[in-house]
Amino acid sequence: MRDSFDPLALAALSDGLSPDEQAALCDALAANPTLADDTARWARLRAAVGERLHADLPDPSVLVLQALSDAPGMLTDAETARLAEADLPAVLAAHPGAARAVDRLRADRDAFEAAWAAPLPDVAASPEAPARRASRPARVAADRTATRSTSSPSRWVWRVSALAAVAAFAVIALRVGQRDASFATITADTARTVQLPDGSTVDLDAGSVLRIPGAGISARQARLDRGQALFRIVHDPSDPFTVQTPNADVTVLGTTFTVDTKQIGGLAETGVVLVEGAVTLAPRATPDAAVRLAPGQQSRLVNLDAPDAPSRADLAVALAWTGDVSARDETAAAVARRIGERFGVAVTVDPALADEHVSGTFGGPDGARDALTKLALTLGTTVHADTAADGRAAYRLGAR
Amino acid sequence: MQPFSPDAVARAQAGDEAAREQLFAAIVPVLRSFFLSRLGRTPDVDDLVQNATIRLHRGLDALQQTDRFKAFAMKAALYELQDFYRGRYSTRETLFNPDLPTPGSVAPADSALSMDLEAALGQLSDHARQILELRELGYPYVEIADTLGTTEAAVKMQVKRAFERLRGLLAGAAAVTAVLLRLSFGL
Repeated sequence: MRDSFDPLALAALSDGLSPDEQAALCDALAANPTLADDTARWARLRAAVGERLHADLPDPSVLVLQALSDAPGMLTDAETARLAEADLPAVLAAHPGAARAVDRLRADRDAFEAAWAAPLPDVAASPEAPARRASRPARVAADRTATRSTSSPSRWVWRVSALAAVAAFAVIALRVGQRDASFATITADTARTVQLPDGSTVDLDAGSVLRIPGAGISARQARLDRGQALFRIVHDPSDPFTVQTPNADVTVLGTTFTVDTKQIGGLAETGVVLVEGAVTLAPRATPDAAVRLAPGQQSRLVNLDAPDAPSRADLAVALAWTGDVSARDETAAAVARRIGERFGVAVTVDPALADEHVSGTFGGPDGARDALTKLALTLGTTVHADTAADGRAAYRLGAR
Repeated sequence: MQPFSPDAVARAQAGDEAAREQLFAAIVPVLRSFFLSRLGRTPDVDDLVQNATIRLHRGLDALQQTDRFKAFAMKAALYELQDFYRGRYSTRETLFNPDLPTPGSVAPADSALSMDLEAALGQLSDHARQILELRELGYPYVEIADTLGTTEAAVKMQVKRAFERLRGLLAGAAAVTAVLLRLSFGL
């Protein structure tokens, strides 16, 4: 078990390890004195980074004042004077992490404004608070399958159940149709990207129909009536995002995933492929039958039946229509090659980086450039543009 | 009457217990909603709400502009969240082994572990420095990823790359030292 850890990663990230990882690192350092020395030097380097930051920023609480300073009336005269004394512009110029911390605090400020404008009920006393739904334990699909296979329903029972399911489906469809009065409908004649009110984005395939919430209803929802879509959902653990299809609810816990929905012989079918994060997929009528997907998994459900057990997805195939290149624990060289093939450009990777394993979705409006920039960011390096001998655009990841 | 109106705040400051109770009954759900939105459903939220409320209790009498209660409450919440990340709640990720060097505990004069600190700092990319500084400010890797608009795996990859660069630098320095020793002493 311990052998499966990457000792270099453990040493680099030694300030945030699980007990198993800590044990594995101890083993690695005991077996490799050079690594132990380098790890100690790394700790010294990190300490130096901290010492310099704290020397220039002895009181980090002024970052809060800085984050609030661009809104009128937020600071008292004394706080304004304290902020001026801290000379933060110079500190932020010298310390990029402190500058990003101010960005983070501005986001905190905005979250407080939102809470102030629409305070939630005291959820500690509310067992039906929305976030509880996300933390609902998902049943294991294999258990449900076993239950159904041993129940041996008679033929008439099956028919009654089927009729009930059809009736329930019709009622649900009617109710969904009524709710859609508050939604704006987007019909994608060609592939396009849609921005949702909460900042999330949806890449729609051509021919898809998406409904997005209008004013006065929760922004953390969308309906996919037809087609397929790639959702990139803004993370908000207290307010899960829900995607509805004609027969299913996909509850999103902050993530990237695709949903496709279609009608086959009068049956509604919904499929979900998860790229990053976590989602649950449940039939509309029986939310307790939800399955929870892990990254790289897929599931599908027909009408109001229970979803399939999660299975491994071929992300390259599932996301081919989006134009993005998706990878899960692949080498940088392999991902770069796929990006090159996808966009018709030549890509080379610094040999020192070629065997690094990366995961993620690489793409963007600028095609190859965006995809390679994201890959470079993941690798902690830079991308350089050039022209190949055959005249194609060429890119190199790594030092020149 | 609105619980956060300047008049209500002034009455709470003046010792009107009913106004004070109403004020804090109204602010607690706001604080809870805020902390839930930033941290999710975690037991720490209750502590954060309680401590932010205590801050407000303690600071209320000193609030000079009663029409700025929202700013006053917002600062209390943000300071509390900042304290949370900086470890006041003891949830910050801990070091892997108390027997190993911790940041700041390595003696500068330890010649066995000598290195050119300035050169090593110069090797840090802006991205890596950002991450290390944000860690120093207490943010966990997952929050850093959120702040930088990337994934936790990408953030950790950058830290690992920075460590590898440092190792490369040290290996290069060791090679140079060996060459100089050979040239100087014929070793």
